[in-house]
This record gives sequence, C-alpha cells and structure tokens, in this order.
Amino acid sequence: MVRPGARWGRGNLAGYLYLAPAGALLLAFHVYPLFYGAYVSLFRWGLTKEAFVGPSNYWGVLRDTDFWRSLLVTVYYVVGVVPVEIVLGFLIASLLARKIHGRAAYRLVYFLPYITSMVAMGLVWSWIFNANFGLFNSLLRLLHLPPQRWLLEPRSILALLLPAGAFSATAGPSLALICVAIVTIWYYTGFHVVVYLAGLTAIPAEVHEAARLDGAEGWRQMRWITLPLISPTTFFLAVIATIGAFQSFAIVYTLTGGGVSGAEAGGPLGTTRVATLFIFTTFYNEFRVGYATAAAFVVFVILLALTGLQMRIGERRVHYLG
Amino acid sequence: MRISRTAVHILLLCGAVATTLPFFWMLSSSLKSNVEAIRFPPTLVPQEWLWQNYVRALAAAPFPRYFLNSLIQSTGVAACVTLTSALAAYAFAFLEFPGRRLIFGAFVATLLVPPEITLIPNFVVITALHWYNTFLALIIPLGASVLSIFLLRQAFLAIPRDLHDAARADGCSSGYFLWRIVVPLSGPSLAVVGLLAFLRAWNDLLWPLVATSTENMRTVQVGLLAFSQNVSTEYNLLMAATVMTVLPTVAAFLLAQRQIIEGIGTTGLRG
Repeated sequence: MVRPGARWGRGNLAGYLYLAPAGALLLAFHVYPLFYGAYVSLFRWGLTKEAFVGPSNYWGVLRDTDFWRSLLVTVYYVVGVVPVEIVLGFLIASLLARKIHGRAAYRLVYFLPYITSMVAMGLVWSWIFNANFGLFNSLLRLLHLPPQRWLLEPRSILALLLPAGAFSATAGPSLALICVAIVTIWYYTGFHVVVYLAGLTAIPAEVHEAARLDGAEGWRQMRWITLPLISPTTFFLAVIATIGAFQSFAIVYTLTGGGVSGAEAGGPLGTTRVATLFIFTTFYNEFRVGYATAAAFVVFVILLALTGLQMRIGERRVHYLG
Repeated sequence: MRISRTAVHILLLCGAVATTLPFFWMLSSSLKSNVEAIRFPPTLVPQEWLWQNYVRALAAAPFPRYFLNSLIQSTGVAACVTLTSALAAYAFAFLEFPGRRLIFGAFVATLLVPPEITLIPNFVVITALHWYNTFLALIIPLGASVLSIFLLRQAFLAIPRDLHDAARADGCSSGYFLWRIVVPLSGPSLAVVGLLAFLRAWNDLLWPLVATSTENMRTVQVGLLAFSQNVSTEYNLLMAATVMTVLPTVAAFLLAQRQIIEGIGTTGLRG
C-alpha cells in the first residue's frame, strides 16, 4: 500500500524513472507517428512537404481502383490463409497432445519455419515454384501432367481447371496468390501448433475423464468438450492471424519478385499486390508519401473495424472455462 | 478420437516431410553444381558435393559486411529491448506509483498501432534526425517491445513479493534489488526476450529496406534480396547464401528451443 503522504516520495518517482526508457521509445516510434502520419496524410508530400491539400488524399484513395483491387487481393489472401492455419494448427496439435513418442521432435520440426527469415524461405520457395526448372514442375513432368506457371500465373485456379471462357480471368484469386498463401501457411502453421498445444495441455484431464464416464467418446468428446474449452485459444489465434496476414509484407514481396529496387513486386498483373505492397510501392517507388500514408490510415480503419467485428462475434461464441 | 498410433505417426510424418522439404531442398541444392541444380529429373542428394559454393557465394557479394551489419543491428536491438523491458516490467511488477494501471493500459494500447502507419512517419523522423543510413535508425525504433515487457512482467510476478518487502526493509535500493535479485532469478526469461528480439531484428526486411540505402549499410535480408537478383541464374550459389542467412537463427533456436516454445505457447508472442 502507498502511504497517502508519500505519493510523490522517492519510491514513486522511481516507478516513472524505470518506465521512462521504454515509454519514451514507444511514444517516439509508435504513438507520435500515428499523429504525425495523420498530419502527413493531409499534404501533398513528396521528398518533403509540398502543399496542404486537406482530405483530398483520402478522397483520392477511396476513388482509386488500384487501391480497392489491392484490398480485394488482401481479402482473398486473409480468407485463404487464416482458416487453414487454424484448422491445420489445431489438427496437428491435437495429434501431438496424445503424448506419443517423438512429440518434442515433431513440435520442433513444425516450428522451424517460424524462426527462419521470410526472405530466405521466400527465395527457396520461389525456386520450388519456378516455371522452368522448379521442383513442382519437375514432379508434374514425372507424372506426365502439364507444367504450371505457379507464381507467374495471373489466372484464377477456376479459370485454369474449367474450359476456356467459362470464367473470366479476374474471377477469384490467381494461382500466383494461392502459391503465396501456401508458403504463408507453411510458415505460420507451426506457430499455431505451439499455441494450441499449450492450450490443449492446460485442459484438466479430469474434464475429459468425466465426459468419458458420461459416455462421450471420439467425435462427441471433441465436439462438446475439447472444441468449446479450446475456443478462447481459437479466438485469440483468429484475431492475431487476421491482423498478421493483413500486414504481411516480406513473404509476398520476396515471392513476387520485389528486389531492393521494389520493381515488379505484386505481379503477375498485380494479382498478388496486397494492401501493404500498395502502400509500400506508392511510398517507396512513386514517392507519393502523403497519399501512401492516407492509404495506410484507410487500411488501419478497415482492419480496426474487422477486429472489432471479430471481438463482438467472439464475445458471443467463445466459452471460457470457469 | 480413435485413431491408431500408427495412423497418428503417419499423419505427423507426412506433415513433417512437407515442413522440412524446402529446407532439405535448400541444403541439397546449395551443394550441387548449377547444372545439377536445374537437372531433370531432380536429384535429391548431390552427386558431387561442392562445398566451395559457400566460398563462391561469400565472394560474390559483400556478405561478411551484411552479416556484420545484421549482427550489430540485432545485438543492439536485443540489448535495448531486454534493458528497456526489464526496467519497465520491474516497475509494473514491484513498484507502487500513481497511474500504474493506466500507464500499463497505454503501453498495451500501442500494440494497436499498425506498422503500415508508423513506417512512413518513422522514415520521415529518422531523416529529420539525420539517422538515415545509420545504425541508430536500424536499432533505436525497434528498441522497446510491449510484448517483451508483458512477458517479463509475468516472470517477475512469479518472484515472491515478500522478497521485495524484506529487501526494502533492509534498506536495499530498488536498483540493487533489480540487478542482484530479480535479474539472476529471471535469467531464462531475459534470455528468451533477448533472443526473440534478436531473431525479429535479424529476420526483418521492411524497416532496413526503408531506413538504409547504401550497400555498406545493408543487412543480411536486404543483401540477400539484392544478391538474388544479381545471381538469378545461379541457384546453387543463391541457395548457399540462403543457408548462411538462416543458419544463425536455426542455431540460436536449437540452443534455446524449449524456453522459446514455452514462451510463445503461453503468451502468443509473435516473433
């Protein structure tokens, strides 16, 4: 307890002093940029501040078809990546929760991609997907199947499977985007496995035991005991995976041919140009800093609304223990 | 669910093969000749082990310089994050001061600010400070992490408060207590926080790409990306370079995998 007379004594001051270094850095590089960005977004801003333009950057962004297209690509990407990561993560974790031999080794292997660099693994994968001498096309050739252009294919998977003309070329995510999604899933599934495993092992064994005595086995045990009890973890993972996928940069950038110059990133035909790439190239290659910042704020508001929606749904659906 | 043990192992092994295949392919190709690397049908194990690919890759671009830059950046970030987080976590866990909960809430709220937004303003700020193309720009903006503060606060809360009260009654200063009691007792947590900060900085692409422009300031990730465009036809050299980029993080992870996995499993700390 703090003695009333000593509120601003030496002990109290110490608290602020200990917080000062972290607080100053957070203030300078996380809070201040938020306000400064809001300021920048109201200017025509190239290499330096040029002219005050009010909200016209925002009107520009909202009328920019390239921007909306990048958001659509982002939505395809997020919807393709998040559920798969969660389902795969849960399935693998529930297999690993059985106390089988080599559990630690499996966990280690699945987690390995997560600690490597996205640039390095993006380069490895872009070679595996290479249209001329990549591993996947070699496998297709061995099976006497036609080779694919993978990361260079702007057509959607439906357009590829169905007879020509049945679907327009722009319908659905391109094969290239699906390839990017596969690599993303490969990279993050281990993270989901580890978080799920921690959640699953935290469920008391007696709960399962009691359900078993009541006759719940197999699927019913899973449906009525495990899934409800693990739902806070699922909810947590869904929220952070959505935010993470919305902000993906390095993996998309590397796989789609972005180099130090930033050229070509988001190809083919812009079908992998997610919102972060739109913001980055507008800023880095075109030097439209005010416009790019306005776009970043629009994305932020959309993501905030999406997270808020998830929270509301989560509130109603998630079962907490106790 | 009732699945036999064998089936479980088969499923898990399939997943493990799918997960490790790119690593295997990277390693194997890094030792092949370029002709063998793009041969059809592909060879799984190199017919000829060309260890000199690594020497050639190192000579083909200033990789030692990239490694040094990344090492300085990542070590700097790790030291900075560990220090600022330990100090802040100590205040939140042990000290009483007005507005403690409010400030903690404000710290957590900064997690909501997305990197897309801070990227451009931070670029403008470091340019104004004349930090562009310096290590200060690579290190200082990454020097505080709310998730690390959170993780350390949890670790510090596990230390009995009686210990703190007793030390205080004995006239021990808070700095002495932090340094002599809390830090030694929380060694593994501090190591995990430091290591995760190191890995995050080592693997980062976006910020070093934006904050530096000259070759002598490039980090490993930016350098690797540049290298990939220069040697786009020599896959064996490219794979040797990626192995070298990934190796330090894998080694660090293997050394402290149990602590890292537990830290992430229980807090959901992302990178």
